[in-house]
Formats: sequence, C-alpha cells, structure tokens
Amino acid sequence: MKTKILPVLAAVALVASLVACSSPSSASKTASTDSGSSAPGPSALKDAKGVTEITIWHGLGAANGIAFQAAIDDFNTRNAKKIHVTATYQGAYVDLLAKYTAAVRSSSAPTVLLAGDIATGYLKDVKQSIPAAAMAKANSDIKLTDLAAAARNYYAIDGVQQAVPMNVSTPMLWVNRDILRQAGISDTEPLHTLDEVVAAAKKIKSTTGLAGFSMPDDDWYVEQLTATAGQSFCTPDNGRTGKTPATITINSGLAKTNITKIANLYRSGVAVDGGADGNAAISTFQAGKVGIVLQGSGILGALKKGQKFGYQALPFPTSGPKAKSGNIIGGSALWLNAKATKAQQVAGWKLEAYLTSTATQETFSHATGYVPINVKVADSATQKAFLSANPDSQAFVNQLSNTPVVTATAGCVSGAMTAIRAGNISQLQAAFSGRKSVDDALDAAVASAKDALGQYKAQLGE
Amino acid sequence: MTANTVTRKSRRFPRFGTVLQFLVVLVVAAGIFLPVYLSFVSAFTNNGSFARDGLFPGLDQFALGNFREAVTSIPLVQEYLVSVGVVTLQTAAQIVTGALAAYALVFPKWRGRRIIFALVLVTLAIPGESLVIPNYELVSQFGLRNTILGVAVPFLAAGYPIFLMRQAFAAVPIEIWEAARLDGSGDIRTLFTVIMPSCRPQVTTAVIWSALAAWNGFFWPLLITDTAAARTIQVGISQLATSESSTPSVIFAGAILVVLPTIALVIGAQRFLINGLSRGTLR
Repeated sequence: MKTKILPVLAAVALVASLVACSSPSSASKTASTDSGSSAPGPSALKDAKGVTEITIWHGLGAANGIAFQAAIDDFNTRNAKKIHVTATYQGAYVDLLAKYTAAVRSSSAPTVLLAGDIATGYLKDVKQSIPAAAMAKANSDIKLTDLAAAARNYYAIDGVQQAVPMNVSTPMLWVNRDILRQAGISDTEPLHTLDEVVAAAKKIKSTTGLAGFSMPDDDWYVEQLTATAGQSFCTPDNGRTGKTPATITINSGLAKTNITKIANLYRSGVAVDGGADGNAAISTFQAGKVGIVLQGSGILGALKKGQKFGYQALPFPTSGPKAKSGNIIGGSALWLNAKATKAQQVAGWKLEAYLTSTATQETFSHATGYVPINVKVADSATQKAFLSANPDSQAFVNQLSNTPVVTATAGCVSGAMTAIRAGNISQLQAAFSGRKSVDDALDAAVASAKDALGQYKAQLGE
Repeated sequence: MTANTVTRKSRRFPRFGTVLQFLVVLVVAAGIFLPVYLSFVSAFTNNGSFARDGLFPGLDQFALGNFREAVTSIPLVQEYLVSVGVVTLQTAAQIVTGALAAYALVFPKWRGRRIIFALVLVTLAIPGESLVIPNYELVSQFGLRNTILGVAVPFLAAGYPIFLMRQAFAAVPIEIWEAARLDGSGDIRTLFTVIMPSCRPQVTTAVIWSALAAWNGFFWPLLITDTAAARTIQVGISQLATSESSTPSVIFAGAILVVLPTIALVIGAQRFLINGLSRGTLR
C-alpha cells in the first residue's frame, strides 16, 4: 500500500501545481477555448501539407491495450497519407494523469488524452482541452447524440460536453449461481434492491458457511451506493451546474443507510474483505468462496477463462426512486489538446470519431468487455448474435441504456476526486473492520473530503 | 557427573533457547516466503486454479500459458535490454562517483569534510517522489526525454553508496594509504588499486544496492519515457494490469520474470552482502 500511496501523492502534487497555474487569473487567455469559438473546422486538416503526426496517451493495459493498439493501427492504415497516430501506454489512470501534468508544464502534452473518469473535473479546470461540444459544432465527424446518454451525462459540465467517452464499464452484481442454489436462493428470486442483496448474503452465510458478499475497498462502489439511492455524491449538484463542490454526502440520507448496511455485513462476518485493488475480490469469487460480489463489467474476461461454476451478472442493486437512481459509469474519455496545432486538433477529432464509430466500438467491446458507447452498435446483426450468445454482455448493455440521465448518475465532478477517494478508502476499511463505528468513519471521511475540496478550491483561486 | 558426560549431553540435546530462536526464525521465514510461493504457484497454474485448489494445486493445473501471455502482451525482450542498460549505467556511475566522494571524505584532511558528509546523509531522508518535478524539467531541458540516458541521469550519484564506501574506507588503516602514496601512487590509482580492493565486501554491497534500485525503478522511467525503446521492464510489466479488469495469474507471471534476475543477484552475492553490512557497523 505504501508503494502505491507515494506515487498517488506525487500525482496529486503535480496536479496541484498545474491547477494553481490555471487559476482564473489566467482564464482570459483561454476564454475563447471555453466558449468554443476557436474550434477548428475540416479545412485546417485539409490544407495541411504532408502527413499530420498526432499522439494519443492512454492507460489501457493487458488485453485492453492490445485491442486499443489494433484499432489505432487500423486507423493509421485507413489514413496513411494524411494522419499518423502514435499511441503510448502511460500507466494506470493516476500515473497517466501525473505524466500528463508534467507534460503540460513542459509543453509536450499529447494531441489526444484518453483519461479516466475521475480526471474529468481536473481536466476541465486546467483548461488545456477543447470541449467536445465545440469540436462537434465545427466538424461533422461525430454526432454526439449517437453516444450513450448516460455516458455523455458523465462528461458534461454545466450542459457542455467536455470530452468524448470512449470505453465505458458499468458496475454489476456478480452472483455464483451454484452457491445461491446451495443456500436455497432460486434463480428467479429477485436481487434488484440492496435490501434483497443483503438478505441473500446473510442467507448464504448462515446456510452454507461461505462468505455471502464481497466488494473491492474502492470508493467507486461507495459512489455507486450513493447514486443508486438517488443522492448526489457531492454538493451542490455533483458539481454539474458550474459550482465547485464543497462537501460529500455519504454521512447522510439513504447513502449513509446503504453504506451502513454493507459495513454491517463485514462487521458481522457475512462479507469478506475484497482488498484495495479488486484482484482479491476477483480471486475470492473465482475460488468459489463468496456468493455475491460487486464488481465492474470488466472482470468478465477473467471469469470466462475456465470458471467451473455457474455465474451471472445482474444489474447493480438500487435503493432509491427508479426515475432518479442508477449507477455511475466507469471507463475513460478522449480529451483534445487545445495547445496542439489546428491541423492536429482536426486530425485528433477524426481519430475520436473513428474510435467511437459503430464498427470500432463493436470490435473493441467484444475484445475487452467494455460496453459499446455508440448506441447504433445495437442495430448490428453480429452484435445481436454476440449478445444472444453472451447474456452477461447483454446485461451490461441493458444497464447502461436503462440508467436515467439525472444528476445523481452523472457522478461527482471535481479535480479533488483522487484525494477524496484516497481519504474515503482508509475510513471505509476502518468501518468495515470494526476499528471505528460506521458513523465516526463516515464523518471522518466527509471531513477529509471537505478539506481536500477546500484546498482544491483555493488552488483554483476561488 | 563428569565434564565429558555434560559435554556429550549438551551436544545431543540443543538448549531450549536455541530451539526457540530457531522456531521464531522459521515462522518469520515462512511469513516472508509464503507470498513468494503464492506468486510462483499462481504464475505456473491456470488462472483461478490456485484460488480454487488451495496452497497445493494438482500437477494437471500446471501451465506456461501465463508466461506466454505476459511475453506477447509487452515487448519483453526489448524492455529487458533497456533495463540492463539502465542498471549498468546507473550502477557504474554510482559506484565511481561514490568511491571518489568517499575517498575525498576520508583520506585528505580538509576542513568541512564532516559537514559535507552530514549533508550527504541528509539526502538519504529526501523521498525520491519530491524530486520528480525538478528532475523532469531538468531532463526535458537537456532534451533527454524518452532516452535511456534520461532515465539514468538523475541517479548517476546517490547518497547510500557514498555512505557505505565512506564507512568502509574509514576502516582501512591509514598506513596503507600512506604507503601507497609514498610509493608514488596518485590519488586515483590509490583508490582503484589499493583502497577499493581492500573493501571488496562493502563495494559489492554498494553495487548490489545500486543495481537493485535501478532495476526496481518504476515511476521515474514511466514519467520520462514514451516508447518501448526506452522503457524499462518494470513499466512494461505494469501494462499487464488494467484499471478495470485483470488476470492475476498473468500479472504474477510477469512479476516472476522481473524478479528472477534480482533473486539470482542476491543469492549469488549474499556472502558479500552480509559481510559488507556488518563491517560497516564496526566504525
């Protein structure tokens, strides 16, 4: 854990230095970018001589990285005489952000950045990118309404689309059907709400002796428990109305109730610790030692490799009113560099259009387990056949399309999210292990988050 | 009871204290060795089989597919060679600069050498992550981004090898140094032909420390490089994990490939390590 904390702190320090440099005192230099009036049109690339070289940085490793590179290679082949893209893996999301920040300081930032979801607030505040809405207005390559509404919702701030979502994951309720049957829970028994899941977990433990529940020690799932309660994770309005968030809400309302129910599962021995990075939860589930886990859709690839028990992906349990509750997407989005040349910006936009096109999204989603971001993929005959043969993938698609587009499901947008998550995890672990009462842990988490948000606001000059 | 009888009985039955010490060491060793064992088992078995079958999966689960996947996912050979280059450059530079600094701090008598040594010790307390930003800007200004030299430049000198060798040189009798100088040997020749050979264990310890630190570096090589041509194996291996999904057995396979050279190095040089570390405490 110590090895991971120091790079996170280094990343936060780098981020803080760049945010301080992008305070409102320098806003006048980039006002035109914010208003979108300087977004270049197709002629900027058309008039460029020779091959326009662009770069894209990403954090996709393993099979995801291979699939992504295949898409890049295909784009290069199709645009051989006009555009050439160099894609570089730059580490996990936190390391990628640290690298990007250092690159901005030395004016060597990439043309396109595929950044993780929680980087949204920070990337918006440092004002180094052209909003996707502005590029879409000046160019016809991407029709933003073709992209899944819930994903667009996540990357829109104050009504303006900031980035183009490229790979989307969604949190699911994974169940071991063999263990559930052993516990007397039939395949048709509903597990739609958090109360139903908690009851099932307790039944698994009491009848089989196996752990009934697990989830990674990851604040992303706490954010899900808040959003599925119909509650904004941070206020005001999850930072979506242009006002910088001042605090988080996990120690109040239905969110607190949900987190307390999960914490009690751990404290009573029904649940088993899923570890901080998720691999322990995956391994425990693969070992057949736990009946129910909360995990992202991305674990399907690992489960498909020789799992000997029946498993199923179910929708994430909700607890709030249906019209206002749902889960928050994960994944990453494409940000276009405002400091690149106009030809590079248009070339980058064409790359973004290609990566979000129906054919590319279909191929990429089959190879990686991400949910297709382009809604028109659903019309493809091969996609229909794929989903028919892969019911879990169908569950991912259904959940994404059924997520209501509301403030709660947009998630909190703030440049302090990395620090907030780091602070919340340690308090959650204290609550789950019984070292602290749940109330004290949640209050401490909120206090820490308030502090982080206050410092971030100060760096912004607010 | 005769003295011989007592001696024979002592040899047959170890003392209670010795047994207790041995048990404590065994428990600690097991605690240290267990994660290594788990890593090896996970790497050499099918994904998930270790989690399912416990500490001793069956031989039918043995597979090399994880290594195959690790090697094909990343340009492993290229990054291995880069790591060897970085390790060679950094280690050689740290030993040379460390030896020169240690010699200057021990043999010539000059005012302020203790203060300078104290400043060198202070650098050991500075966390590397706090130097990332200034190092990045410096290396970028030199135009060395995305090069092996760029990875190594901030680490061409380090405080710990200077400390180790300074302590070792200080234990060398001054008469040896004076004799070499009286024979007409200059400072550089005295250092490399007389002083360093007499401090072989500590120098070897410094070499091992520098090599391990260079081999295990991750954040700095990630930050300063962009392509596989200049990336070290640690950065390459990190690509085996993703933020949203991972195959733990493949990650373990990659970790085994990375850690094997360091295990070989430490096993091969452990005699010097123990010797070097213990001698350093005598002065």
